[in-house]
Amino acid sequence: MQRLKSFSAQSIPILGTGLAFWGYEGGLVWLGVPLAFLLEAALRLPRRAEFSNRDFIRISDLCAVLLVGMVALLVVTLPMREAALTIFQLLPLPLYPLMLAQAVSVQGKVPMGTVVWSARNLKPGEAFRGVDITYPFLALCLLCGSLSNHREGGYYLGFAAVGAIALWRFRAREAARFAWAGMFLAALLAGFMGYRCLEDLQAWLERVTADWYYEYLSRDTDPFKAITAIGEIGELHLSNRPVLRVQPLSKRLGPLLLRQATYDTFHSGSWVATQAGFAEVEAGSAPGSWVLSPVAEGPLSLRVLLGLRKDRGLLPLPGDSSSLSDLQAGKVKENRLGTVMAEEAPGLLCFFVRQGARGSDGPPTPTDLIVPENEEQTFSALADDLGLSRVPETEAVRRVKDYFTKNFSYSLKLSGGNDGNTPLARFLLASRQGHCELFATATVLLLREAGIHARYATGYLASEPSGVKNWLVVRERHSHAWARVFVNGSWTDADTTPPGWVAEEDEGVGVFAQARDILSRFWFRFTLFRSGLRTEELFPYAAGVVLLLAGFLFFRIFRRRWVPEKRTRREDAGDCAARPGIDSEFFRVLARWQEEQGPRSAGETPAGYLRRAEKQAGRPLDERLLAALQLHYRYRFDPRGLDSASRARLSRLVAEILGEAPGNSGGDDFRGRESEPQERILQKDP
Amino acid sequence: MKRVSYLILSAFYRLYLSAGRRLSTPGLFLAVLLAVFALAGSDTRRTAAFQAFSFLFFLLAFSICFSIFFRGRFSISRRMGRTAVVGEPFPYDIVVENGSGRRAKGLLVRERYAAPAPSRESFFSAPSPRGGSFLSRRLGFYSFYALAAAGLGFRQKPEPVPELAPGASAAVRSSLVPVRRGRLRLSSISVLRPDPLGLAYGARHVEAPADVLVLPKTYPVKSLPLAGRRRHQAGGVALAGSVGDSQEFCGLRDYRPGDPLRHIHWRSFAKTGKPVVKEFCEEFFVRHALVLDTFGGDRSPALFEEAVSVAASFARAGVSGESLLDLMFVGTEAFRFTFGRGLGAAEQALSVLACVSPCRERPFSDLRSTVMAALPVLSGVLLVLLSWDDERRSFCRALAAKGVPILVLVVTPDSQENAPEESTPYRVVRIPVGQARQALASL
Repeated sequence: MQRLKSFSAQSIPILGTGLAFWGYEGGLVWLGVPLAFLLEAALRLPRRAEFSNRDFIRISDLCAVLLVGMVALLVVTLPMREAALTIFQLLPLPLYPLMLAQAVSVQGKVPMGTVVWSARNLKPGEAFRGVDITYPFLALCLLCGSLSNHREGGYYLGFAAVGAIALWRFRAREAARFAWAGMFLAALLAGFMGYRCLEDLQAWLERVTADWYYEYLSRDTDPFKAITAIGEIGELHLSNRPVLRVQPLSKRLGPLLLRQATYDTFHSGSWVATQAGFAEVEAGSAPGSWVLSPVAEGPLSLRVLLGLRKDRGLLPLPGDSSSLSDLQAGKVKENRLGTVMAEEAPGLLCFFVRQGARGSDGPPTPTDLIVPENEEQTFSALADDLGLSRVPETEAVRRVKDYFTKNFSYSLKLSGGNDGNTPLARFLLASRQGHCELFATATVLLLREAGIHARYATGYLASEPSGVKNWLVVRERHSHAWARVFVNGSWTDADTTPPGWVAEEDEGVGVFAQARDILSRFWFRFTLFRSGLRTEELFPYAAGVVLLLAGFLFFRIFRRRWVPEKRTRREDAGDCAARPGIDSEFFRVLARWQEEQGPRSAGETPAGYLRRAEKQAGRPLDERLLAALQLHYRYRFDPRGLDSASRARLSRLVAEILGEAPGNSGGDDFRGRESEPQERILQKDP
Repeated sequence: MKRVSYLILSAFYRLYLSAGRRLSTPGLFLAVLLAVFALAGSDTRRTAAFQAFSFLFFLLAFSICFSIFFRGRFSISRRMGRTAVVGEPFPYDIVVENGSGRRAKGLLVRERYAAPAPSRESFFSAPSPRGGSFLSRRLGFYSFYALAAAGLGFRQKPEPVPELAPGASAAVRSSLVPVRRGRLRLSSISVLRPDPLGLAYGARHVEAPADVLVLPKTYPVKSLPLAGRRRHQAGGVALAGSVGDSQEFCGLRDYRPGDPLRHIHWRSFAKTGKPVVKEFCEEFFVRHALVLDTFGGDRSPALFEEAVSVAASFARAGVSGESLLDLMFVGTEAFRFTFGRGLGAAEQALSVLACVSPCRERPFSDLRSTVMAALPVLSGVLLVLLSWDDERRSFCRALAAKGVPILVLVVTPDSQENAPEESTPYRVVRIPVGQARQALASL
């Protein structure tokens, strides 16, 4: 430690203020305020510590380890979105040791090597190049404080207050103080109005773009309207991106239809849900459980893992779902058509589905029998041909299914045209091929023509094994449409699309899909791992992470001891080149003298010290000692250095003086002789 | 990828230069913060960073607006030397005269940077420097940084100007640090007035062209560490200038027409009856060659600069004695400059070295033939080489075979690579980049 001659600590505690402000904004006052006090106290210490470049590098390594540890812990324990936000909010914490080191260091800066990787190792003789991280650290505190998103205006005023302190230091000295204050206040007011305008601007932009987006781009499921591709020309392509994963818990064979939305009115190529306002679903007795249908329940049948783009979204569920459990959402809503929506939900949902005797779809209404006028003639004739009105409902459904399976094929090519027929009529009478929307729409209208209540449902078909236990992966291209028909007093699914459609969809998979699948599978396993963990189960993993990081830190700190001998020797040689003669044996003699005659004063030369010691001892020095001192000086300060013979002589003399050489009479009798070199060297120091 | 990288880097560099002329260091820091807060606050519903963005934006906007209204008339001149040393502060005076009718206070003054972004050709031909991450090397970040720093030519902090009454003038002691060798052209000087917040500068630029020759860095060297010998120099005493062996009596011979009368040995003339003249020894000097390897220097600028510095150190030390020093290198052609004994001073040798550039077009054999041609009059050769390959080894062996004492200094990237073998009949010293001072001190 080195005592400072004058105390020059910053008079205004700007760093402490910034850190305390960060703690206040993040709800961590208990942490921010003590850290701020500690930092300010360190800045005001009358003493400073001498850190070498390597010390600083070790401290920065410690910061890196803390950061990695913090990231690992938060990613494992928190939902991903929350974890990312918390990591950014807590960023000043892992960097705090480096800031503290700068505050207590003599240099008042941290070396470039802590910021730039390539500058970590100083070359021999290279000067310390430092960078002051005070203001970057302050800016980081202010930035991280903003992530807490307090909207009451406290952040703005706090930021301005800390900014005022910082800016006051950089003001133009000759400028009038009122000019500074005037400009600052003007910026404060303009900034306040500016940020209010920014809020309004974003709201306006969102309003303008939302309509456009949903009209033309969005493929998110709209619970009230489904715009189909019926009547369009071209080819349908959907992404290979996994949308959700499901795990059937019961022994159930065959693909699984997961309904996301149901519609009841068809008009001009679009399905619309009428009178389909959402109502909150009653929460169950257990946390995270929601009751969809108050009927007798069976066992848990399905586990669903679903990622939401926002904090709300429609849930893909089997048509006969009766309750949900472990669903971490603030609200669950449902409309009369059985469409279920989760609100105030995290980005990733993992929940269980219990299926019952029947689903939660509302009772049939006259709307479920309406066939558009322009389609009436086509469907009426076809229904008569199939004799649908003359057979029971179940038989009618079976006939429709057989009809489509035998006479139609699946195609992603959209064959529009202008032959005067509607797209559905063209599909039924001419092309006899199409995609699932056509089959589902035709089925619904055909059954309605036969007097059977039917609705149009969209969702996904889960059939592809994911490679992880018995989980199924559902991709965007597995999105599907089918009919919901009311037979025998309950709603059931009627999927009339020819069964080969999944294979046809799989043909268009890209080359890189498999690689992406592997990554997706890793992410899925990690998600499963996270969602299945309870807090007490986390401790072994946390301990493992901490041990791993501690091991890495240990390696970083002590790795120089493990380098090969050759390298060590070279580094030693480098030190010797930087400070010639530093390996002189004469230092051992000096050490021996200091043990006996007391320490050498700071700045006292060896010759001066020996002269003083000679007076203290009261007898002249040995000429061997003086000869060794002369050689030592030459070795240390002569640009030509010592030749090998002189160097060996120095070693020999030191060994004799210390009594290490064979045949020497001892280490203490080197005093008491006089010689000419002694006089010469003691009179004049180099 | 490097093309895109160049476009982005040059755009950022232009932005930085433009902002650097207008903004102070705190202002630049705030501008960077503004960008960061803009990014963090892009969604006003998620964070409160947009509030800070708005405040910072108006702070900078008001500061810049204030700085626009800076008016003033100034006359400026410099009082400076002609040569500077790369990396060393070069102090000089800037004389500022207030030509306006108002008092001028709170002003700063500094040289105006006139640095274009590194050209596309120089960026793509620049070597990939060592250090940094793989990605930064691939993107050419460090190459661009080095080229941009060299293009700036110097570093300088603004210096405060004392308060000036109308018509008054004051000399401001300023200092700039050249960052590269060669001719440094200073075009104009900026008089700056910071705004009250201290974030932006209002600037008036005054044309004041000046040239400074930036000499290479030198290290302390006692003398040329060569065991030389004296050789006859064909130039004779006329070339020698002042001192030497020109008056040393050597013998007598018969008079030949044209011999000066003051060389007649009158006693012998009297004895023999025919004119006899005194004969003096020919001019014998120590003449060393300092050979600088310029081949491959474009691939490693740091290596080349260190080699030039090493050569400059010996040039400065070698010219001061009574020996001659031939500086040889190959640029656009093979050059040989002779210094010492009145032919040229150390400053001239350093001036030549200040303008040396790496050789790209010519082969190494040009240097070899130049040195071999001069070998009969040389007493010793000191070679400063950039690498230690077979071609250079063969060259050194050929020199040693002629019986000329040679010393080879090989500048290496670091202490591990290109380690020369020790079993040569001449001395080979390895000088790692950045450690020349220690290496030369131990010679």
